[in-house]
Amino acid sequence: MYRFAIALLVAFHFGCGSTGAEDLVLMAAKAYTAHGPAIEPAVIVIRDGKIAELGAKIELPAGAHVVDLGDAVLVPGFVNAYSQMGISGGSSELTRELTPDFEVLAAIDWESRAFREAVDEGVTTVGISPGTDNVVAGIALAAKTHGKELRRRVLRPNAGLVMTLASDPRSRNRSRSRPDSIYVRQPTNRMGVVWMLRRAIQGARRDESASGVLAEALQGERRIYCVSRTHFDIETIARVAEEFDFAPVIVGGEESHRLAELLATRKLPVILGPLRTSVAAGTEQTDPVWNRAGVLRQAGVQIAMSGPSLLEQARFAVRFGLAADDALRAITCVPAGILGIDERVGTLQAGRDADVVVLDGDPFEFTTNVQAVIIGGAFVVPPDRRTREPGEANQTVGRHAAGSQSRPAPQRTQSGPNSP
Amino acid sequence: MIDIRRGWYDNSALAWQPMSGVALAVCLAVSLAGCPAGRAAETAGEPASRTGDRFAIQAGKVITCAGEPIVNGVILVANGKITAVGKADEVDIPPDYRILDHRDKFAMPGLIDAHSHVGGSISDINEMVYQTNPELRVWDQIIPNNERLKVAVAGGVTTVCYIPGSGTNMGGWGALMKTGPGTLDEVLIRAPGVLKIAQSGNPERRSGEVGSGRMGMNHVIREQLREGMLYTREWDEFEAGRRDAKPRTNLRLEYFKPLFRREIPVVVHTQAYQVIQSTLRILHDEMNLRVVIDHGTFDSYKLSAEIIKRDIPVMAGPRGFRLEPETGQVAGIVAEFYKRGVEKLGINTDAPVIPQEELFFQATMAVRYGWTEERAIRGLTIEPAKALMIDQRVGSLEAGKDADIVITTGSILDPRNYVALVLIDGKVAYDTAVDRRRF
Repeated sequence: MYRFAIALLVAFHFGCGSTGAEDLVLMAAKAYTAHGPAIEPAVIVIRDGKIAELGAKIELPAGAHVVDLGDAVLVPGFVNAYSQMGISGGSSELTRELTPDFEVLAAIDWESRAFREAVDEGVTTVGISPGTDNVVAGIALAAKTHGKELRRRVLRPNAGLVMTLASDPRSRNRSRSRPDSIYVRQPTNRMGVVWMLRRAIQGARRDESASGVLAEALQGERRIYCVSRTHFDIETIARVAEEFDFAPVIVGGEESHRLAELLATRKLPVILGPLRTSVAAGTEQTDPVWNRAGVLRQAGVQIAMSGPSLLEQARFAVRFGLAADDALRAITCVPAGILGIDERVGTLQAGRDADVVVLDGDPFEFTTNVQAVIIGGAFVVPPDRRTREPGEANQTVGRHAAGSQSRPAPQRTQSGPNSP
Repeated sequence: MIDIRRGWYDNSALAWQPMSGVALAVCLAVSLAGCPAGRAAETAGEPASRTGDRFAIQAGKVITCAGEPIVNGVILVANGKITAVGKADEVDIPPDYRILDHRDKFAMPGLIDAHSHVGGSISDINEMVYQTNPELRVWDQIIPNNERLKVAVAGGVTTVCYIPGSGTNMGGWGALMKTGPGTLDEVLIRAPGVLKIAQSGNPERRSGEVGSGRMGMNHVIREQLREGMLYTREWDEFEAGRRDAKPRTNLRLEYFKPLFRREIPVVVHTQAYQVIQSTLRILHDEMNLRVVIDHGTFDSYKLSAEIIKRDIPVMAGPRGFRLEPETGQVAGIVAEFYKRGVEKLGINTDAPVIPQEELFFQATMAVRYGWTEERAIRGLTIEPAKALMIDQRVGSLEAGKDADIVITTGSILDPRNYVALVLIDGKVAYDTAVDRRRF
């Protein structure tokens, strides 16, 4: 039935026929803004890709396209704070451990199917980081998951510097077994990882006039992310951060719940990696608990979620003890804040990008589906028919479409990931 | 067979004889009668985890490792520390202290292993790209009370020296830590705890670098230590006001400061006569370090006189025996040191080479070859504590020390006995009444 409704609304939208700067108005039963109280019913006025106005009762602008979404519930587009989404040609440098000035921007296939899948799940913004095989890996970025024009799609080419304090950087290296190999080098284990990180930081810190990415990050000019999963690695990065006076965002954090108090006291946010629920142990043999998000939040730790199926992860967290509004924040405004793009995305409020996910029920009900996704004021799921050519799908509105190249139609389900 | 419960650690002096129902009833009656009114004694089997911060342990024999054992002794514990140890009729138990009645058992200090690799991630102890690694440290990968340590606790081990492996000549800095649960800060006794040097065998290089044999390895060790010594000297000069320019901090050499200031020891993987000679000559005579000989196996004991002259402790093991080629007899390594007068003598497991919980059994087997029971108990406790320079905290049952207390069903040297209760810093880390008998 709902599919029918969507078809109607798209038809309606199409029927209006005109393009250009006219306003789009969304009407729905409810909106969770991740910013203030829920709005019920919800009216959102979208102008030039931004939210112009929202509220329960708004005087509709003359000539606006009004899309009545009926019983739908609106939430901000989801923000996946950490991923290797779309990286093509290797996410790590193989010949050295310290590559702080490497930019992930250069490695992304913006046409990657991964972005389309993310959009289908309601993820409208993503943080993309280099991989975990380097001790200091390089510079992450934040971008929209959809958009033809790269200049508009990348929100922040420099969203911070990514490090790894875990066993990953040692994975290829050996000591004496292959003396003719490039892989005979430190680190071959954690002690080496810790040392290389400390040495790099001290080197950057020692010389006060030092320029360079690491020095800037340590001076607080760039966000620092550190991938650490086991409790002792997390404790170690907290100790190293104290030694050298910086405040990293912990990424992965599979056992971070064991250090909730420490993380709260030190005000270190955590971007949780996906919780593996089908195996006994997590990555690096970590010992996961299902309410780690709730434990962290209760202690006052700022948390974001990352990985695939963000909404599913948030639902799971709610099921095991995280408050619903904290769960929504953990996939919207908190990751946006961590990535430094919260002036643009992460909440539904006037002035923010019109990135909206249309749900057919409460966000944390397991039966709720993603019905539509709007990025920058344009329906991306399902695609806006005004600009759609026969055999073409998933295009944005108007001016973006003009220079587009054809490509295979994406595999999509209109009703989202939970369709029976 | 020699009954090692005879003699110094004989428990026949106990009022309570094993497994006699009548005697048990008498004992309990006495214990109840002995309690001040309004305060019931806990039976031995009752979990001590319910005790508060202040309690008294009554034990049939208290082996303090700081003097003669006390028959019918009492240990008072407050806030994780021992506040008094003495005979039952000489120590007043304050009225608010709870009582743990173990008058049918022995109490002794927690066991200490001077050479262990199971304090944390075992896969991360050998970083072998470079021959000397004074920049590496193990305490970033400690996993408190990990699965191996849980069993170790059930074997009575409460402190370990968690050190890097012997894959290189200088593996890095080890940590001294408790085996029980807690945060890293709670379990750490000292970090850096020791420097680990390995002088023979394992660290030999076959990659084309210098160090393919003992001469080369000693050259490498000496050069690295000299760099650390000069660095420390620079800072000493500066701190004493004899040098104006502040030296530059070198993270790689920073931990050499406490080493050359003789605040922490170097634990040396060294074994066999020839290698021990180098240990004595380079690390002690030349570098003036606090040296602990770890392993000390094969014919090392033939250098006992030189070791005694330098007052160097020996923590022998894990290999406990040597076949004397001349006589065709098996000699016990520890006993041979002992017979030659080495008194600062202990044992180690090199866990997981020998499981951490079998530390006591290393001592038992040393006794089989001629070590005395008293020395063996000391070699499990106060001797490693002194060698590792942590005897102000652990190693004996004395007022002021950490309440690391092991309750056993008799002398721990007798494999028929077992550990019934382990307290670490006054907290229950293992209790057979709750955990069942794990080992």
